[in-house]
Amino acid sequence: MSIAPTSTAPRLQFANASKWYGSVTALMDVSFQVGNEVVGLVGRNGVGKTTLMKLAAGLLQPSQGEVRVAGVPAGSRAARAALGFCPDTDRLFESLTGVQFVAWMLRYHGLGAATARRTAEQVLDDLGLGPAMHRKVGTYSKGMRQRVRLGQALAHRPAVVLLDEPMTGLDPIARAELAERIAALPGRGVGVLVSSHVLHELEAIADRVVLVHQGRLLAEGKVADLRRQLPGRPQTYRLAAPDLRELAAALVALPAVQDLSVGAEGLLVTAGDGAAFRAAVTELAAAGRFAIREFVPVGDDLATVFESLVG
Amino acid sequence: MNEPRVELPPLVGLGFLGTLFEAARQCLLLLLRNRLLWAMLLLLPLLAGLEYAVGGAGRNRLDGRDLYCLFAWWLLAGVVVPWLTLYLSVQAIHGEIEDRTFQYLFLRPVCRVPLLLGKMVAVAVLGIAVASFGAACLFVGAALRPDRWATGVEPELLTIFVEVNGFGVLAYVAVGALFAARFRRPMLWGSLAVVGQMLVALLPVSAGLRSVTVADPMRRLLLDRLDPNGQLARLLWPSERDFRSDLVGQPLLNLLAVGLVSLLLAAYAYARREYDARERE
Repeated sequence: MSIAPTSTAPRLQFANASKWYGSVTALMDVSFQVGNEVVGLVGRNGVGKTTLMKLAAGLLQPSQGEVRVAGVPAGSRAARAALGFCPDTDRLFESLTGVQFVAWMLRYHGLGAATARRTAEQVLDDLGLGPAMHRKVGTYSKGMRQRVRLGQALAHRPAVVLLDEPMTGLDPIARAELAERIAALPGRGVGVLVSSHVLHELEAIADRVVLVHQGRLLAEGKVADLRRQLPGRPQTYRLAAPDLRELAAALVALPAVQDLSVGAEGLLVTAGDGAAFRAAVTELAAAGRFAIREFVPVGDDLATVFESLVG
Repeated sequence: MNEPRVELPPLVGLGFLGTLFEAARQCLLLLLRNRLLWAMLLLLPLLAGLEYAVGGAGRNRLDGRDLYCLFAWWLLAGVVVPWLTLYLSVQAIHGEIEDRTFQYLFLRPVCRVPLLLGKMVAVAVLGIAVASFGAACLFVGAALRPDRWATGVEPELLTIFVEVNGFGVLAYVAVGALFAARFRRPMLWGSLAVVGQMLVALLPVSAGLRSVTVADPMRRLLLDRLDPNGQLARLLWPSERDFRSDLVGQPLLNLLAVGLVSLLLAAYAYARREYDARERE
């Protein structure tokens, strides 16, 4: 098999990819790309996230459309050489040491025994496994096991890695460490597609997110951009001013306002038409009334966006 | 999308033989940690002890040759070899599918067929080693009573059983690989298949179905090598009262056919593109 040694193609590309099992549609007409960046994959259980990951890994074939890794069809030998996959299952070869396991995987990439072992030691050391890398995997904590799984996915220097629920089962400190490592991968030339239920952590590391619901790609982009794509959806704002009661009385008369409450942090206003409400508040502020000190959207995070989109 | 050029990792890979060797080596290391395998190695000397005890008991004691053939055929070739081989095949192939660790292997830039063949080689090596050790233990158990051997102790019997069991292990490995690669509950279906083929193998020579089993060609190969007298022939093949050498047929060809068909079906199942498809789950 001969392939071009370099390619300008995206690291991972879904082009109208669909997957169905008989009459059950798992994924429908999904298109997006992953470049040299971290892309978060968001969706509830059973919406097709794992199917999407397996299509990218080549473990499944699209029923329609195309999935390419570094410009070559997913599942081909060249694609497998360019891909690292950290599956969602916590199973490893328990009787092997961390180094043995990673070195074994590297052998299949054509590395000699000594080089494979040296590379495995280096990768696991970089991941902070330390001397424990020479212990049997069966004795590892969840955080250490996650490092080994990540190590086997990164050791052969892939162009893209797929991380399926990598945060699951980790304690907060291990989560923070892992998030930091994932966020650093694009700096080493590795594109990342990562799925997680821990939305705020995903938001912190992902350059972009892809929202999947009922097998369809619901939205794609930066979280803030996605939030702006939701006209007509109620949005909450926090306002701070010296006289909140007077301000509340003025705002409640606006047709865009659906709900209003005064709290310790200020005035919380839920507006049905965000654009109209923002325009009205801007007018009030420009007129110099109420001395509005703060006017910020609340719930502009990934979880709110996701909940807004899927209802 | 304005992207920097993606440096694809060099596609070196291990090649067919390299992958096969590496898979065999790793599988062997993993299987050597299996406790049942070591328990079996401890059990075999106990069987030899039982054989020694039986050899000294009763008024109509069997000839040493018959006693050894009886134990080595019915216990070793009939029980230990098929069950151990099936178990090791399932551990080596299906164990990774069951706990999903196969995903680590299938995403490497190597073909799956040599991965499967490597595992089969590892199982075959261990199966032949255990079967040979068992044959040796049983031989010692019988040879420790040299007075029971009418024509003197026959060391060549050990060679015969090592040979017959060796061919049997190879065929059983292929059958075990087929069940391990294809079925969700390979031990259950494999066990039914092993028992079924053993029952079929008991049929008289007129039943042509026998030739698609492993046990029957093994027995015919054994009888061909042993050149048994009437009593020993009846001990080894109770349903065939008048054994003649022309009944042997082509046992190696039969074993080869069963093994090859099983191997091809196993490789086809293992190399399917969508091995992880939902119908397995």
